[in-house]
Amino acid sequence: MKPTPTPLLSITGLTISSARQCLVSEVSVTLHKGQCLGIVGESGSGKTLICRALLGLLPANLKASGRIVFEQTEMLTASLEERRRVLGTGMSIIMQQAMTAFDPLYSLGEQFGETLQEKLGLGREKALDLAKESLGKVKLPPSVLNSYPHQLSGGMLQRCMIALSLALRSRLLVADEPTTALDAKTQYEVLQRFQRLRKHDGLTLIFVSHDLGAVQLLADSLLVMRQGQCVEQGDATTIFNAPRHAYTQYLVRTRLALSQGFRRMLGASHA
Amino acid sequence: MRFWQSLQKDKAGMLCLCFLLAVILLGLLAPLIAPHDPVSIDVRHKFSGFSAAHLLGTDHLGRDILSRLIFGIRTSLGFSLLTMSATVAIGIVLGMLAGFLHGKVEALIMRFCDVMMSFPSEVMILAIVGMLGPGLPNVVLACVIAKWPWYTRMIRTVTRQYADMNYIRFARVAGYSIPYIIRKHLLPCAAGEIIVLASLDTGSVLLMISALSFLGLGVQPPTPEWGMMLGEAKNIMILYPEQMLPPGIAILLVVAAFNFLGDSLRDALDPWHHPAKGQTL
Amino acid sequence: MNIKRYILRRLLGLAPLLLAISFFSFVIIQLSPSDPAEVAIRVNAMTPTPELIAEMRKEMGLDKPFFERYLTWLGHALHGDLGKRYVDGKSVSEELLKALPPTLLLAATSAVLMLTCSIVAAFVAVLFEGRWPDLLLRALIFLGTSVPAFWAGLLFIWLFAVHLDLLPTGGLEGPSSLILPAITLALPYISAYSRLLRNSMVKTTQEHFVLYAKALGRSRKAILRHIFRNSLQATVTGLGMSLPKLVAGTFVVECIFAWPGLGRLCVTAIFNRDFPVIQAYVLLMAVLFVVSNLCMDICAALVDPRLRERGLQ
Repeated sequence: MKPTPTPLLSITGLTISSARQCLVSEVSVTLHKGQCLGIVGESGSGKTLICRALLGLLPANLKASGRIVFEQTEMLTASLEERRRVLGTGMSIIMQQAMTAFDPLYSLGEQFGETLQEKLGLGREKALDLAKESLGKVKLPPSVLNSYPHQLSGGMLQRCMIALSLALRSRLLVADEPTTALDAKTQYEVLQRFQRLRKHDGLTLIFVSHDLGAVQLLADSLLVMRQGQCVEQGDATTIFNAPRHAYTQYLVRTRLALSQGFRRMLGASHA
Repeated sequence: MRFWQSLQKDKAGMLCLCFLLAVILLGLLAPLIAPHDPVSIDVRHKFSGFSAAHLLGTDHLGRDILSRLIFGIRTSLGFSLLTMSATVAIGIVLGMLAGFLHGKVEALIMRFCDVMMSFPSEVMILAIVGMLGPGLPNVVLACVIAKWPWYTRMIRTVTRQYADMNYIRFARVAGYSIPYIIRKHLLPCAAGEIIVLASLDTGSVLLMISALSFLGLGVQPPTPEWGMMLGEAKNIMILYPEQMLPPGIAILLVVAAFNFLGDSLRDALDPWHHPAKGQTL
Repeated sequence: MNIKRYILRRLLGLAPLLLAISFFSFVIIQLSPSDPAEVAIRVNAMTPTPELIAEMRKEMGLDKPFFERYLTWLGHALHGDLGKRYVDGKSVSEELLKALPPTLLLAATSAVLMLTCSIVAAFVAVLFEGRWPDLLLRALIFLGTSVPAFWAGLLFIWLFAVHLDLLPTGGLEGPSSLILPAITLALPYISAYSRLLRNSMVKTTQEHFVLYAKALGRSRKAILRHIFRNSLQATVTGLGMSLPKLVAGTFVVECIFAWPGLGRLCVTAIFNRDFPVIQAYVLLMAVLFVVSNLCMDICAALVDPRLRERGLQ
């Protein structure tokens, strides 16, 4: 994977703080088209905050400073309108809470339809055709469009979110803990799906997880977070083979101990 | 107690509490504080304006309005508090019974509550006053009858919630008697929710009692009561509109204080009740 | 469509409740400490001698056993005959039917007023959360929950009818006489409702699906629509509870504004100890309450697909 000269996303000195304390400090990272960035860390380490800062959706009581540049847009200083133009079509997210990520009162067809109509300026028929097509890419039948969110499983709803991002042709996909709520078998399927999407659709991905095993499979580069600090970052292979920071070493060690069974299931040799 | 501490931090809530306590004290000490006899008629000095002798003036029979307001605390607020105490007491007894004794007793009590609650409380109160006839005791009784099912249901819910907790089960297994468990463990747990609801409801009971007295269905003259004072002021509205102000403002202030206190108590009890400030759209 | 089965099921559940209500309305008058026969004689300015009372009891059927009287009463009630007024011997059902339309008109106007004001207030609150329009509204709402409606009504009469002479003081003489009573009646409910709707909307704003919609860069209008529909959901049930409360609560307002409605009819009946009227009023109100609850549940089921399925299980 050859990095292109101008990065798709560059974060410089991102610091997120509440009135009382600093929650994320001085994170800098660049991401090129087609790459996958893994963000690893225990819960409360600031992973989700980084994702929300990317989308400009931090809670009102938190302040972010530094720079986030996505293509040509300064995400932290952009007006609401500018940001809205980038969100969805430029950058989109797979929410951690799949079960509650869709409005429970509307069928998925209605929600797909209106989102695609609004974001892509399509007619109703075209929007629904596109929705069906992208649902097919994540192996969901078109009948899903007639169901309401409570009738589907969390895994299916997550796939719906992926399908929506595909339909919107998002250039960057942020997946916030997509495997956390799933059992081992479904986790495996999700990881495989992301891998396939990267290969076939050239998807640029930010993959956030506390599960090192999952990240290892996908990520080109890695960002290890602990208590709001970036403790180690760089090429994924290098870090896995020779972790420098004590915390990363600990993570890698425990992962090796824990994921024997998991790897056997994957049946893949990894770098 | 954490509950009390967080209430103390809430300045407006404490202000309301102090105001209400002051009003209650004023009502208790009414004979000492009131400048005049609230029922003595002095027709020569009727409708006198604000003056040193009569701070808030006199009404259509020459009675001192300030004194009537102060004595009115005893009827308006006093009977509201009495009503609420009776309601809460019935609610606690029946609610705890239903919560602790599963099976037929519970089903019977809760079914009865459901039927009672299927009537709007206004209709229930009118029906009972209609059956027993106008008068303050009947109004109080009607309010109690109309309100007890709500408390019974709430207290049962709380009881059920706690009765299944391990430490209560442990207490039962350890052989403590049910009354002891209720007194020692359940009442303190339920107290917060009861106080919140009761403080909000005292305001509405005061409104109901004064509304019925205003219509002539509640307190009978010459006993001073705020709603009835308003009813009397209504008849002379065209010539002396200012007569409507003192009782109206008195009701407004006390009810507002109860409502505000109820909100503050709820916040103190459950800091997560109010959703955190989110982002703007 | 499942909704038809849902409605049918709920209608069947209604029958025992209605029976219980009729029984309650009947019993409540039987519990009265005063003897209806004696009251009936007194209101007609006659002296109740023992013979007269006995004769009256027989005429009113009071000498028969309790359940027989209940069944007779129920049978008559089902045919729309709710007895005669003690005061003037007029048919109670006719008087009720005469008083019903003005009360419904008043309650309906108030309900419309209440809904529009609450929705506007809730939107202002959500759009300006924490800024001055929100704070001002919150203060007004707070005042509204505490102000005694009858006092507000009196102040309105004094200001608009007596002082400014813009509107009539009372009675039902055209659209202008509807304004003051409707506002007075709606006042406490506007407060309660905008508060409920506001809290519900603020809470919905925190939902994940709203965050997701924002992350997709959806327009403010589209997001507001989703928030509103989800909040309304929670409010609809409460609305069902308060519509009959609105009708029942009219009695104070009707008395202040001399409105020829049900509430005033009942209050007058209480003063006269006119039991059949009170009984009929209670029965009518309870039936209204139950039916309107049912309608609201059906509306809620129409809006929310999850409730539809739960209702059928």
